[in-house]
Amino acid sequence: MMILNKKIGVFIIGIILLGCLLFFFLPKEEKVVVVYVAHDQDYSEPILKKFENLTGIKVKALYDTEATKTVGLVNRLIAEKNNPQADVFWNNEMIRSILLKEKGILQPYCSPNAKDIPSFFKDEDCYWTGFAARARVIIYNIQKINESEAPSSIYDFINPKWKGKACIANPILGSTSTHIASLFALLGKEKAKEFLLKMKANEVQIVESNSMVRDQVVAGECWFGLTDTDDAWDAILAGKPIKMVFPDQDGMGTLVFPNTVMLIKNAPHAENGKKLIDFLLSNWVEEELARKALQIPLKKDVKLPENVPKVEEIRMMNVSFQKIYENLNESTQFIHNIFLT
Amino acid sequence: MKTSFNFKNFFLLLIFLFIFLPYVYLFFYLFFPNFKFVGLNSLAEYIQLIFSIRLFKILFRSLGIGIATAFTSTLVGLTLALILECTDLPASNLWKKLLFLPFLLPSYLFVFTWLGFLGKRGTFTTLTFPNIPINVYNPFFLIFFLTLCFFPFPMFLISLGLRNLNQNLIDAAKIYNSKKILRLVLSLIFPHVLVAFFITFSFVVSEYMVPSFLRINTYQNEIFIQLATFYDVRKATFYSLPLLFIFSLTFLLMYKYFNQNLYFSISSNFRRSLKIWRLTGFKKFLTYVFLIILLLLSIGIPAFVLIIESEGKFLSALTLARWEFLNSIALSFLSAFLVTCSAILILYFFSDRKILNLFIIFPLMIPSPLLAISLIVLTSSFFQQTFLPLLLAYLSRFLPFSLLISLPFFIQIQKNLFEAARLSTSSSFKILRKILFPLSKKSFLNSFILVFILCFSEILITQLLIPPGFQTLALRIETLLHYGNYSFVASLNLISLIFILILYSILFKSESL
Repeated sequence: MMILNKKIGVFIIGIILLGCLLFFFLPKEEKVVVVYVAHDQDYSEPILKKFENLTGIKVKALYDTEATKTVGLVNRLIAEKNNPQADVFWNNEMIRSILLKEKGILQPYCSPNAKDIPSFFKDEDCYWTGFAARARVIIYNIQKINESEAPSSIYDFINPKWKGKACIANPILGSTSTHIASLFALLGKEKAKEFLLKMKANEVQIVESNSMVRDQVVAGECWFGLTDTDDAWDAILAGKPIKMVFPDQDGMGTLVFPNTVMLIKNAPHAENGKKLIDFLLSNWVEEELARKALQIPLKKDVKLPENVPKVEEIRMMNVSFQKIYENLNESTQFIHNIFLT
Repeated sequence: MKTSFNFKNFFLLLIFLFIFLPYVYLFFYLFFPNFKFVGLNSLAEYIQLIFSIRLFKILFRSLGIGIATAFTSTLVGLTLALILECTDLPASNLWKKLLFLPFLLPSYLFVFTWLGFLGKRGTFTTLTFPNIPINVYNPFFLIFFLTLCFFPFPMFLISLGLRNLNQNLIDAAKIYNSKKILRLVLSLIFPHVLVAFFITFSFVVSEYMVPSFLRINTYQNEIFIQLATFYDVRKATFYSLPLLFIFSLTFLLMYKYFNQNLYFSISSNFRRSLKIWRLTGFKKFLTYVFLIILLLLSIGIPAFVLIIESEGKFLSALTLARWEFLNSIALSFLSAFLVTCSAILILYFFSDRKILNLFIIFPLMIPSPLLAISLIVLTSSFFQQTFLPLLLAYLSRFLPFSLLISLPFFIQIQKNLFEAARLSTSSSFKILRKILFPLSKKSFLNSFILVFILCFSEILITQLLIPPGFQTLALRIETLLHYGNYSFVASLNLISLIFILILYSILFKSESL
């Protein structure tokens, strides 16, 4: 009886192992496109499913996580340069798209759907194309700060009145690093460094992510903070006691940055990749992202929900993305040495 | 002349290729990035950087936190192990199972629920936790949270040691001098205490997300930044060298102690608790208070926050993440099986050799992101979009834990059993089947459970090596955190915790038969 039980046990384990092996090593599908997605999965996944249903092309998506936001996928693309696995990269900002272009990871593709996207938001050589933008905004807790004295500029982060009351996300990753680099590009290196040193002296708290900034402001741990429009609107729509401000509308302007999509050089399924890019640059996708994720459409004839502004209504920072990219390394090194001790 | 197949050498070659080649490549990459020699100037630059005051400060801070957390975790774990294994506490098995639960929660979620409970992050549920005015963003609270997270592991390891003690020695000590039994027991289990301390230390030093939640910059974060922000694999590899040195030195000192240890007893009975001391009166009351407070802090409050924040959305959450859940189970099962089998074979083939410590030290030294990057570069030409790089990474990453869990058992097995079998011309395979696996099945189960849990919760390596179109539950949960979809996060964590608990209960129940 014991021998029989042992044999049955070994048989069951063998079946489970075989099942796992088959599960992992099933034959690959031919009609497929592989996309690395830095954009939030809850919003991007339904869009990719729609593409699957329309075209019959199976989408294999790899999503980023909060811990490694964007950079995990960028690292992976760089590491895979000599043998790319991805066909398309859907990035949620543009600076690392420029980085990938500089490193020769991308190949140009001029999508017909990109024609009505403003040239400011796309690469002139068609290496990457922007769509569905976000803006860097200040959110403040209305239980802590009256509307009359609400912060409206990034210079409020160095105002001694708000010492220890403000927070920003990790300044060496994600959109915050892009924002810091844009200050280097716009203000010049010396003035930007001076501003950041004053920020540190004013005890601005560094939290893990933009969503954490939102959470901290909602909780009242920070009275105000710098985050992205989609994070801010999540809290506003949930009825939390915060308000949002586009900073420096009377001054330097607000940083508005798009999602970007690009074709990977020597992509295994380049033609399917191009179809996916065309789809992502369609009006429907911008409308969908505006409706569900409150992203700001870049195309003019896209229907806007009520609470989403037109991109023309926002006074944007007058600095090119290329210049922001050129300042990224130095600004990040500076921040790294000053804030992360 | 016919030569027979040498399984041992073949296995050695495979293990070297699978485990050590990524690390060899990493250090080769220091001198030959992209297979071109870059000269020593850049290395000189890195050496200058690594001796910066700023970096030293961060390194010492990380080591200090690691040592302090390992000390407090081991102290708590030792106390619990002694209470659960050496006293007549009623329902000690149940207490042990409950006290092991904190280890099953991903460490970042643990601190996340605590921050929610203290009202530090606001919530998106109908109930808002009031903001409790305590400043938790300092190393002391980090040590506190990490201790609550990691104490079950020393408790588990030391309990195994206690169960492995020879009852005859204890009985003899009782007859001779009952007051010195505690000293005797502590001496006998000191190797287990040391191993528990070391492993907890390595867990803590490798921890990245919990310190970042509490806004504390650690050395692991510095390595991560080199990879994540500056895309400099060489610098990240070089930054790992101090950790490599420290871990190597610590483990070599510990291993030297193991070699000279005279107090290992041999027992074939792994199940029986010692029941040396009786708990009566005030001691019993104190014990219960201690256990209840510990449970409350480590399980009660996180579970409470998870239950509140889940809002009962279990079905919706499970429907959303059903494929990720199945993916995690399948991947963890396969990985745990692979790792545990490899560990047993390594211990069998190399248990007498000093190079065994290489299998344990080096994987622990290398931060997870570095391992992942080296595997991507090494394997992308040959294993396109497969799981092999991920399985290799899990093998490298979790093999040390399997080895350390199994080592105390293997030290107890009498080597003359194998020698006798060889003399009777038994093949290696027969020795494995008839002697090794039956004797080591309990260590196999313990190792399997532990590695399964570690694989199930793993995020960083998985994110970098997972093939497109496949996602694990841990990744899905961590991604949902970003949107503030806390109800789904809490629901999925509760579901995964219940699943692990069921598995854990079944396996431990079968072990006691």
